[in-house]
Amino acid sequence: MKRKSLALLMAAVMMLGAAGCGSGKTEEPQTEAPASAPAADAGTEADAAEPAASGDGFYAGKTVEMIVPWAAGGGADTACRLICSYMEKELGCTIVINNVTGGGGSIGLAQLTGADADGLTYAYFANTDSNGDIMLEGVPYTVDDFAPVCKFAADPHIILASNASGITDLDGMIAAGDGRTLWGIGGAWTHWDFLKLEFEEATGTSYKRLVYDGGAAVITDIMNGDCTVGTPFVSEALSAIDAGEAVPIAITSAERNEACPDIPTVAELGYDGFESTMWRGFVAPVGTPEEAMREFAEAVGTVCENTEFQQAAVQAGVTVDYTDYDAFQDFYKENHESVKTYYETNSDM
Amino acid sequence: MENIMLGFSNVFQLSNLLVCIGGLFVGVLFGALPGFSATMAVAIFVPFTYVMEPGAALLLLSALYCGGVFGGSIPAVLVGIPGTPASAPTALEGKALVKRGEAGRALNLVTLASCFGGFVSSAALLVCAPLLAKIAKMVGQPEQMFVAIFGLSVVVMLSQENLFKGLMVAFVSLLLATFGQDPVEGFPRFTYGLSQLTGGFSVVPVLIGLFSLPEVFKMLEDPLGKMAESGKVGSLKLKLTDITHNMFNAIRSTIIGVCIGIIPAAGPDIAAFLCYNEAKKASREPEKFGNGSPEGIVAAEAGNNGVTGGSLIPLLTLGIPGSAPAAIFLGAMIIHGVRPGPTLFTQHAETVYTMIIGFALINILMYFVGMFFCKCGSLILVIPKSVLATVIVVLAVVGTFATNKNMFDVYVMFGAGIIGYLMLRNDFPTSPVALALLLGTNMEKSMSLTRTMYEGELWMVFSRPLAAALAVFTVFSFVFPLVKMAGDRKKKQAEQEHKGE
Amino acid sequence: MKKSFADMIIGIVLLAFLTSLAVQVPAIPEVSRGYPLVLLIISYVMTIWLLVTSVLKQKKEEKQETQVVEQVKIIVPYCLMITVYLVMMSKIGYIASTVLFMIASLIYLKLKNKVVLAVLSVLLTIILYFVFTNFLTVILPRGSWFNIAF
Repeated sequence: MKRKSLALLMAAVMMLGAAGCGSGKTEEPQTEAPASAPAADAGTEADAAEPAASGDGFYAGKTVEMIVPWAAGGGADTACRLICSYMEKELGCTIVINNVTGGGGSIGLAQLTGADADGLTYAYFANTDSNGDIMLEGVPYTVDDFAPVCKFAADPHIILASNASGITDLDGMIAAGDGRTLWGIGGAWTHWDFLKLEFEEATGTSYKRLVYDGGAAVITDIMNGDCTVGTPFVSEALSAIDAGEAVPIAITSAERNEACPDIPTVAELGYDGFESTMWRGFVAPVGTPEEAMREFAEAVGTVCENTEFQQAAVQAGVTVDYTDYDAFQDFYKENHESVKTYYETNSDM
Repeated sequence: MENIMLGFSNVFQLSNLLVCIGGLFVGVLFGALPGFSATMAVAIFVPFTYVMEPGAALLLLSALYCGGVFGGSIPAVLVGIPGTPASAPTALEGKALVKRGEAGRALNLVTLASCFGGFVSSAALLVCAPLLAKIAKMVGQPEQMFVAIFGLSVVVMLSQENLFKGLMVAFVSLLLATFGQDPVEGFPRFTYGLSQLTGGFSVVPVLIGLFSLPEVFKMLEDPLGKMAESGKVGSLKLKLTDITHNMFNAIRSTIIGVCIGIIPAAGPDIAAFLCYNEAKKASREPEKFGNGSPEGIVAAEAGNNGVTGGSLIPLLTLGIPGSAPAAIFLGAMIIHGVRPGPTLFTQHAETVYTMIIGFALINILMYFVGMFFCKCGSLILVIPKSVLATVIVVLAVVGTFATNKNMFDVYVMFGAGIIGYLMLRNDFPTSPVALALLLGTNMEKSMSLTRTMYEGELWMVFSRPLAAALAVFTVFSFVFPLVKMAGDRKKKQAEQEHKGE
Repeated sequence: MKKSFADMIIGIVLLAFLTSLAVQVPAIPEVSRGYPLVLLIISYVMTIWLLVTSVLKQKKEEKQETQVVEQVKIIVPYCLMITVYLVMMSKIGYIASTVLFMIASLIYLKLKNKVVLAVLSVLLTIILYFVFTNFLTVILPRGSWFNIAF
């Protein structure tokens, strides 16, 4: 009996020890700053550590949950954490990033629609998310379950061609659009697919769809010549371009990008008005008080004006593009309809 | 060279050393607890690193990654539960080692093998990264397809005693891997109308359940007993022969590990299985595999730690992540403005060499941290099984939840656990499930891509030198065990003839 | 209980599972139907083979002494406990459900020392909750009926 209680004691001590190790060591980075502070300014962490008491609005002193339906470390997560770290200072609140992943992004959004509409829960949202109920099966929400708040970024794609293809400019690429040239897609029915359709419609070409799992895989295959053209995001494409492993053709935003000012836009090269970007924004559960959402959207607007944030965003490959609360309401609906039309007419290719 | 020296002096700054050791402690802890994995450790700590110096941030992530991959082997040896899927082959040997009182020696051997694998892989990173990057660039979709099939051939070797059941499990599991959106049209297949299944089963929860819960249920059969009653840890001391006998084995496994690391679609788990498989083929005593063979654990652990450095090669040189944690590294590096790719070694030389030198140092430090954990870990065996079982269930639940933050995965984990137990009790091997789930999705993706690329002229695939070589390996890998089995049956000496392979 | 009897049951269950998948196949777009279809057919063939051999074996095989009944008696209630734990987690929150589960589990597994039982249950839960919420910013399940948080 004595021996047994000794063992039990040991068990308890071990648990403590183990947990002690865990928390003791985690403290180390923790003491330096809160969970999500901006990049590239390790020196200024002191002011980042305490949310400034400047905000005395709805959010001051509260905790906001930000649902990101994608994994930590990915593009969506990086963009979200970056802007939220500045938002904390602006609103005087704490923002907890909750990466609820799975179900092609639908589980996190379903969790948002089930949350209380008290203005303390938001979710990251992008182009195709409002059509989840049409594109995926068993998704419990529709476009009307979300209250659109604002948009903070619109990331352009760079059209890349492989060195082996011999394509060096947009004309060469259009000449190759005979339906047999391989066009790498970063994932079925993500924005990559819509960009391809929009491009084909604008230029009267057609390409063969080659669906990969993520942008990195597309770039690898463009480098080794297996795939002819592809449309990675700026942050993904730059290292391949710098190394001369791939040829940049054009960028899909309306204006040139700060990170790569040498690459012309598709619009400049003779297709006026062509613009196709992957936008990133925020939504709340429907029924959230409008004043709260407006305050949140305004804070996003202020952050987007912040030069320090803008620099960090360029480094992280996020192209800042703010749309305020009122404008975003219409934008949200138009985007929903356009995605829906493209999907319904093309999904059974 | 100058930069290498600069890297040295950076790494040996006190704050950076502390970051390495702290990262290792947390990493090993994450690896060792069932339900927590190396990927999770790296993912969870990424936000912390945003405020650190780029060099220190990358050191912390490296330490977490290496520690996490190693940590999984401690519970694998002691209780037969792999802390991470990468230690699943090690767990096949654990129980028997404890029973024979050789667990202590095995733990030391595992730690040594892990550090060796990790250290050599970091040396590869430092010395021949540019060369290996060239190979990485040759790996396209057809190559990945053959690697996946090659990986699956391990099933044949693993389930020699019961080939039919092993293959059956593998095929049904491959079918499970097709659940969720298809790779071409994104149509959600076999979802039974559940939106949670849109992305298919996530592999980690399934493996957590499959590997930890069956052991829990086994403990329930005798809740008052202790693991120690069925064996003891024994001394941690190594014999000289342990090292000499396993030297060649460790070198071969590390090389395989580094190569697997370079290939984007396969991670430490696949490397561990492949190395275990090759070690079994090459072994003089293959019958010992599954009954506490030190060779098996050395191979698996040297292999999975070899992946750590290997997976960073395509990341640093080309900006292509070679494994899930490497993908998270990529995110962290971009946030710090240190963009991987060819320009990295010129523009950010200091940061990169700090990281690479640190990587080597981390693998040396890991031996000491690892031995500390091994000593603590041995106490697990004196805990009553009732306590151990309860704690494992709670950890598995919270670990699974934290992976994707959704309850559905926790139910999947639990279901996988029950099925795993039933399989175990009825002589169905569970490791083919792990292999099939880890490789299945990629195999289908690369198959469909290859088919689109070479539409109508599929034989052209063999004009790619690497693909053709891999195809030959694959065929050989399927045929070899069968030939060997047939040979064994006819005469025992047949074994000698094949020893060369 | 005979060994082949268990195989037979497994064969039947698998067959039902495969059929439930087969029903869903026609809905899949043609481009991505081939691969799962091939796997499905191979699985069917192997399962049927298992079923046939196990039925044939059953006639020859002798009855074996097993402790299946005793095992079932221990494991089925434990699985039920885990199920209740998981369901309650979204009703009464992580802390309450985990403490209750640990206490119940330790009592069920006949741990005698009541002090260790209580201390371990509360302590481990609190530590896990604390580490996850504060250091790892993981929001653990909250209860819909009531919730304990700090």
